[in-house]
Amino acid sequence: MIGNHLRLQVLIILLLTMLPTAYSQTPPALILPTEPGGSVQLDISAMTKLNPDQFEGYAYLSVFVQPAGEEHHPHAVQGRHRLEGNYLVFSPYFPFESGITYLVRTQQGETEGSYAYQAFQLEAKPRLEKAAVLRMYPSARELPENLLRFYFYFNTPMKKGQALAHIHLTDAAGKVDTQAFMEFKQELWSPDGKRLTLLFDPGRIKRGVSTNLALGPALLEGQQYQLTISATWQDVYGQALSVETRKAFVIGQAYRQAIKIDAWQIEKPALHSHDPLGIHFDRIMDHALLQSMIQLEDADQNPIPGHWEVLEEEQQIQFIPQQTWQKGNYRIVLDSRLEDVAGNNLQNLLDQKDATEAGKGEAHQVIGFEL
Amino acid sequence: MTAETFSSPSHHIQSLGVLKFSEEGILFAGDNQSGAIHAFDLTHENRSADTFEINVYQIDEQIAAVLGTTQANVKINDIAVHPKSGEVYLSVSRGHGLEALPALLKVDAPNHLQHIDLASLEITSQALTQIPDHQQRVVLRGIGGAPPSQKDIAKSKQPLRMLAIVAMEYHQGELFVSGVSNEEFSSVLRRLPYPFNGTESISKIEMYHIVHDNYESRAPIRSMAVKQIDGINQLVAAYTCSPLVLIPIDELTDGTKVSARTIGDMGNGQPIDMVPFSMKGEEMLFVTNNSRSPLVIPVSGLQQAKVVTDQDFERGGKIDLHPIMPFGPIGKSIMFSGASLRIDLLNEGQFVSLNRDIETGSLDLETVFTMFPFRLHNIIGESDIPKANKS
Repeated sequence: MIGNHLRLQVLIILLLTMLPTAYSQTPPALILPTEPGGSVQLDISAMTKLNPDQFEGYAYLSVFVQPAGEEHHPHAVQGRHRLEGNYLVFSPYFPFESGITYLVRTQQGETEGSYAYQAFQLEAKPRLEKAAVLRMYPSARELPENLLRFYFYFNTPMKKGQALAHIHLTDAAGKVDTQAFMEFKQELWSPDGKRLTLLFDPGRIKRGVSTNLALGPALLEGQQYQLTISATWQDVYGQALSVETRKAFVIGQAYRQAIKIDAWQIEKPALHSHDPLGIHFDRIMDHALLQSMIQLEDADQNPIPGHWEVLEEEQQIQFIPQQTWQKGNYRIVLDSRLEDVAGNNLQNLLDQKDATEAGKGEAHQVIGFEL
Repeated sequence: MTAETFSSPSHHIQSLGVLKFSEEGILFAGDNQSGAIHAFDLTHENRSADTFEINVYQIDEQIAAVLGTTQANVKINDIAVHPKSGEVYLSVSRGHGLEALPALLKVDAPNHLQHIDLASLEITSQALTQIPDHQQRVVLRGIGGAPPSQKDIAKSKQPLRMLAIVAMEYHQGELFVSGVSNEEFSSVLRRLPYPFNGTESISKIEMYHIVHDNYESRAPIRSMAVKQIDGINQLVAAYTCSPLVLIPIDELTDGTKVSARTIGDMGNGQPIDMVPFSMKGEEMLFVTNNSRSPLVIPVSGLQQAKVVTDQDFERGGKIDLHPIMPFGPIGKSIMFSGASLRIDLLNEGQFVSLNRDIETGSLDLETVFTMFPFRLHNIIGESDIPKANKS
């Protein structure tokens, strides 16, 4: 029971981490893919009648193969529809290919059977850029024993469904732990197919859960480990990574304490400067969530234009303003779902469901400062 | 032998080849690429319509549209009819060679084509042992002194690995798998208990090949069925060029070398499928072949059949035109609609077949009657000409 609850919680966290970063400009009504791993996305914010729990995706958004000089094929390309923010996202079961004309059919407004069509073709890309692993997170060399997940960034959409055949965790003795990671029926990829999220089996992290008792934790404090990505993994174009990528790390103490915002150090910028505003965390935070769960506002809750950069092996983030800093009160607004690398968020420890004392039940927590 | 068994998330699946259903609706699929057999639990599927016939013309083109690609990127590897729902499942490769991705589709009663999301299925898998690696190749050879043709060369580039799983038969909680192993006597029959428990027994099979006048142990059994013959359960098995043999299943124990009993030869060609069916209450086998018309073989003819050895024939090779050929209780060769690439029993009276149309070359999934497995669209006979032809 506890395991199921935990898994559900982890799934929710995952769904949140997969949200695209907030759209800054007016988004287009239809976003077409530019790469084989891509999806088609339709803005449905005006469609108030669409019941998110029960809708026929193909009625709203279908993609057809269109042979040259012919009507589109009567059968739609099959795949999965899902809602992501204001968008209905269609991901085909198999990647779109270059050299084929696809016709996207969208329902016009809420009128059933009234369709608009738009064709697209993926650019036939010269295969010059070799498939490569760009980055892995967390990037620190020492990681807590209850580490929850790794992120892998590739420069090209990778072949899906093969991650656990190509990513291996070995201990100092060279022994491969085949049960370290959670096996989902569907791997956790970003919509562009370039970022993979890999979770340690939370049953092995959470104390007292059966898999933790039976197999023990995957990572042990004081031990060294290596993560290997095999050279034979191919991208969707069939190019192998060609070199093996390794990340060595040591395991430190588990994060069993709640995140203490009070312990974070705020590095204030000088007035009228372009200096960055710095936040030093009390631990290593989740890289992907840092991108989207911290906002900076003025006293009237207007966003301050600028951008965030994650630094210092995810123990620090800084905000670089577009304009110089003005006198006034500022609010650093933290989404309570922001997590450290062990999956503890601003309200809960991953393996304790009671909210921590600070900010119980609040969707946001705010750190104020004055310049 | 013990082998790895794993409750399989769909990412272990690298290819989908031969398909076989159990009576309960477990679909077994051979995955030569990864060297494993996957079992998909489809036991909850039920009949969507009582009687129907399935006809999907240009099915490779239809599948291509559903998978967002073109016909050239679609290869149908096998078909199998769900014993409860009557729906036809198809294993497909999308793309070519190592880049090919596996796809499972089905055609339902109203002839709708649907991709099955493997991630939505309960899957268990078992890895096979002693399978050929990806480097070993088929021998390059030409015929009659002529150099190998372009197609012969392409054939020789096939890895032996693609023959690891050639045919499957399910019988009373066990899966029988024919194919080649990585050993010298490479023709093997495997027995895997289902539910998979990580064990398999592997027997090497030898048989007397009438046409080659040779005892052979390398080429795999192409198709097979379990039948009660002479009071015991035996595999009726068909080989290329084209011996028909019997193998008592009790003799198939791990590590043994088993001599199959040769009882017939169907004539030159390569068998594809062997489908048991009944005709007027009599048990029959429908055996398709990639080079000749299908055969309907009465199981009664296999009872008390004479087992032959090299002692029974004059020395030397024998081709179709040799006076003794075809040989033994091999039934009758019959008319068929097009060339069947894969066939299964749809219901008591009908087969569903993946047909290459002789006139147009199109690939069609077509229903035919077991009594008379033919469609009329490619012939014009007396009844097609109107009688009252007076102007």
